[in-house]
Amino acid sequence: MQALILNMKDPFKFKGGAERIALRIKDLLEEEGFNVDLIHEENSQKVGGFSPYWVGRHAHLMDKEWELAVVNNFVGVGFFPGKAKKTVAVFHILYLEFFEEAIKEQDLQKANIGYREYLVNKYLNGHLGEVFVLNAADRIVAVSESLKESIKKHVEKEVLVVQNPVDGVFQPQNKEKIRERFNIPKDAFVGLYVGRNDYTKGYDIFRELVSYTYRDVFWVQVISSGGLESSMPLIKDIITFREVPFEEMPIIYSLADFLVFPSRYEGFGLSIVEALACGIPIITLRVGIVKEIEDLLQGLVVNQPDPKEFFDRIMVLKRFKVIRDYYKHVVSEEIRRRFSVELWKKKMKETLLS
Amino acid sequence: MEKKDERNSIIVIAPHPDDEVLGCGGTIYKHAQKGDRIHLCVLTDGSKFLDGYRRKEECLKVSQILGINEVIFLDFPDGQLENHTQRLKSALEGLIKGFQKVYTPHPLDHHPDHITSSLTVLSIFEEDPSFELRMYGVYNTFRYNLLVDVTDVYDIKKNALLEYSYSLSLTGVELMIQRTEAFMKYPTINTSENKLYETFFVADKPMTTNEVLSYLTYDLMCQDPHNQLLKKIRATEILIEKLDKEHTLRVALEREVADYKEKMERLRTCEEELNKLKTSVFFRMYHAYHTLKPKIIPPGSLREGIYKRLISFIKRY
Repeated sequence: MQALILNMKDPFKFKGGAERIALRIKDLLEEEGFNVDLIHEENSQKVGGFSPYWVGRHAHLMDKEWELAVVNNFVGVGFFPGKAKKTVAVFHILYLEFFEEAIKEQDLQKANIGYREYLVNKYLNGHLGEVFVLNAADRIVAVSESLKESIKKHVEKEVLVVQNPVDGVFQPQNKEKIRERFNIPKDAFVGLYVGRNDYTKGYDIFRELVSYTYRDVFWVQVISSGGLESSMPLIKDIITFREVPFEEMPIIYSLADFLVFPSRYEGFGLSIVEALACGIPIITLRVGIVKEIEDLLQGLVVNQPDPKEFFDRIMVLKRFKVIRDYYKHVVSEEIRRRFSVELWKKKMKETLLS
Repeated sequence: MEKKDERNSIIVIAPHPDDEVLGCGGTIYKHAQKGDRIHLCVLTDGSKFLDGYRRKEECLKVSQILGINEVIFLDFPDGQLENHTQRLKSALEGLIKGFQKVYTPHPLDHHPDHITSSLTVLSIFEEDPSFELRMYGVYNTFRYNLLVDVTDVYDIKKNALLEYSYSLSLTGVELMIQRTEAFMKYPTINTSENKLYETFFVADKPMTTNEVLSYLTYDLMCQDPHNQLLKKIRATEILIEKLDKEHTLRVALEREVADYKEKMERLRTCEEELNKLKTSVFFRMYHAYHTLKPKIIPPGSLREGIYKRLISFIKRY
């Protein structure tokens, strides 16, 4: 049996959330006896300037037919009419929502996003690419309930939810030993930021927060790449890690006392569940998966992208070690249960193969 | 608040002189009543069966009746438009750019010149859908999505048709008027009021030729989703390019306006400073000195000579 996976980036080189799911789907399909072709922008023939198109088109022009095709986000836009018996589109984010709800035209200047980039993302990627794939695919999968709700605004089709899993390596570790390794004082109150240094990830909020709290919090930031072209200047006088491989992220999460996650838009928000699985409380806006795990977040969800609201919650966490311990001993286990790889495999298998 | 200028710029594409009145004369007049700026572009010389020159003369008179501001004759040979599609496209591309609404026959309108002109405008529209496309019919009824009630201006349309008596002489102007009235009265069996209508298919969003044809043929046209998509990607890229250029221009102009405002502000500050200076004791004394000096010491007088000598004496020591 032949299967096809279409992904924007090469998942063996770039391991973002969507890429890791692409690899998991590949493993899952191979376990089920499929020969899997993985096509991405680097191994496909470039036609025109719109890369999501050429990835799908390359597959379409191949002298081959597949039992199943899985397209990650709208990368399959050039694939249709697809030469597969069934096509499943897995959506991790929705540009339509992102550039209509999270970033509006009037926000562009403060978000440092170019007008052209905004138009391309909103219209070419969103209104054209995403709407086309949503209508053309046989089955649509969203990685969170909130993403499903967003998709339902644009297409009258059934949308299934398969939440991303959290890898088994994400679990509480010995904080003191890790801090010793990184030369961080054992008794410091360590705050962590994980994400890109751009407006969508709320790096502006984080910058302001650091300026409020530099006396109270020992800050560490992990800066990743990908996403939009525009970025903001990095904070220089705090510990900075760049491009940490995801296998090493449990160590980074575990050295912190909490994670601050001011992202303005997430389809899922893998960092949220990864940090929680490591027993680290997170302070976050109501994005991505947060609505589905709000019962575990104990008032750490912030309603407005306002640094002061984040600050108040940081102070609560600093005062009450009992809350931090609760995350380490109770929430971590619950998250690993709810987002286990086994559960994901079961759901994804049903979705892809039923 | 400043009232927004709601006047439109319209161009009507007519394959032959008279098509514009038969298909949309009432609507053109209604645009004129609103103060819209209207151009008429006649594609052929109308000389296949009649004297093209006389037809042009009629056309110019009719444009005055309908309130058309400018008439352009492209003079392609009548009945042979399909042999000149590339030249026609180049000519129309430059011409219709910048208009908000473009009227053209629909692509199923019986006459080969009408079909060619329609498909040419459609191919421009699918590449660069920066205007609203409105398709009218001359020879037959068609699937429309806009009915314009022109009962109140029908007399004007009738006068315009009568003015075309030579152009319509092959069938006879009276007979043509009767047929046109019939189409206007019964564009479909579904109209409930006894009125006169002109019918249009309006594409107010980007559409490909295939999509328009699909609509007009009740989705009987064979669809090719891949080519549709490619065309849409291309059209979207062109529109993004245009929007981006306009945005860049707007930002530059806004910056210029802000600069001017800043300069104005600086000038105002200088003016205020100057006014303050003018009202100061020193300035008033200085002013009084210069006002009184020519009166006390008139130029060329003996007093002035003495004054100058005194000053030079003081300066020397």
